Amino acid sequence: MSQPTGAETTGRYLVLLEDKSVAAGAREMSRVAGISTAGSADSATREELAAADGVIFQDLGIAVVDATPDQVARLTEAAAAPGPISVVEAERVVHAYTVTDEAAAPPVDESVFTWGLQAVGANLSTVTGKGIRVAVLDTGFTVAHPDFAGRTAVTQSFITGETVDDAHGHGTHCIGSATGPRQPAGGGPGYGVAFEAEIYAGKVLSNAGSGSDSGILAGIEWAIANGCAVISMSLGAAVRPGTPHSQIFEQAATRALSKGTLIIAAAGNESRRPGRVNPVGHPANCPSILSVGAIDVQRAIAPFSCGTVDTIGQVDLVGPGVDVYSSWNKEDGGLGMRKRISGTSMATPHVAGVAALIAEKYGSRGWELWARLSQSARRLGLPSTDVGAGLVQTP
Amino acid sequence: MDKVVVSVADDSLDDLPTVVSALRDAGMVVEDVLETLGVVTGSVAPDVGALLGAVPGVSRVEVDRDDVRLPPIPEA
Repeated sequence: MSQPTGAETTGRYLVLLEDKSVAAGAREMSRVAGISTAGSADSATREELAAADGVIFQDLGIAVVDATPDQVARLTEAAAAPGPISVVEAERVVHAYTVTDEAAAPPVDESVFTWGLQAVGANLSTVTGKGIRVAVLDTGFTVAHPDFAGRTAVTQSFITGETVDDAHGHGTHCIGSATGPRQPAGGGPGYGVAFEAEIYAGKVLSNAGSGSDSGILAGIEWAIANGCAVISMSLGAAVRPGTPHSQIFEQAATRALSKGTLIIAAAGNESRRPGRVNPVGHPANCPSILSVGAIDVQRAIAPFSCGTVDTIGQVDLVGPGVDVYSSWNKEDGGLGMRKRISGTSMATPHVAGVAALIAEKYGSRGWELWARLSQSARRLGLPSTDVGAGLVQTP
Repeated sequence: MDKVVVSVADDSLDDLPTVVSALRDAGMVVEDVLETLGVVTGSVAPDVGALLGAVPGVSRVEVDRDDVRLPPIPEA
């Protein structure tokens, strides 16, 4: 008899019968060991089954039997000899595999807070971002957005011929995730992480969504001069693997850090997982700019999220970046002046918002703020090349 | 004209006006001086950009990329 090692057994035995020898097998079990069996598919009555020592599954050619040690020995002897009994095994106790992945998690209730706020724990935090200045360098801001009534925003356009007014929508969405309301005036779920932070909206991308290095650097300079602890940049240019990072942006980032300003930038959306992972774009690929990838509600890496493919650009942290609900510059899609969109662009302001909360709570700036973001991030069961230290968490 | 971004070396940050002046002398049309970052932006005649790297106090010269944009938004 083959005995499973280490496995829990039931005290019953499985008897494998030779193909097409079920009837002969039943007779043989009776003959050598005195075991009577009832068929599972024939017209055995409940009483016959109860009286029998076991049951045969005809289609499988397997019997499950109660047997004494003496009977087991004789069945095992028969299995070793030619005949209809092929194998005898102790019956094992089996268990369902414990479900550990979060794919089985129920859908998130977004009636009060977006899934993104819940994922970073902002809904459970008492820290608000009060007194912390957060710059979002993007397509501008819809200053008169009803969800921001009563908030002050310092604005500056670095795009020639365009005011800071966001005719695109992207900037307003990012500002919403970083610093928007927890209880929007117009109803719907709260979507802003650092909802009492001071908003600095720098327009470095045109209404068409494009910009230049010089405009972005001017925006960074402006944010530092205004004492912003955090700069959120959901922008970039795709790069090919092996392309060196900009030494000027790297130097700008280290100088910003020395002034107490942390630059957080989107890793980019050029991957097409699982087939293709593209490198972190410019300027997030600079070592001293904190690069952000995107995960979805199941804590899986977003298929578009750029990854670490060589030694140049690397993903440092991830934030919620799929199906993200936030403010928009106009009514578009039945959610009022709000919209659901996806991208590392959406993950980045979540991280910026969390950074503002940490800056408020601990007084951290610069490298210390970066360290606290990484130290407190929730580790995910995903490659560090995709998620860095993991999912940022609100203090 | 090529648009360029020039960074100033750490040990010359305290003397930024001198570096900016030298950049102008070398043919750069200066648009903006970012004092905190130690960055000068502007434009130069083609092929002159590389020469700016030899100006005393200059750390790096890079082309001012104009292809920076918001990452394409994937379908939600």
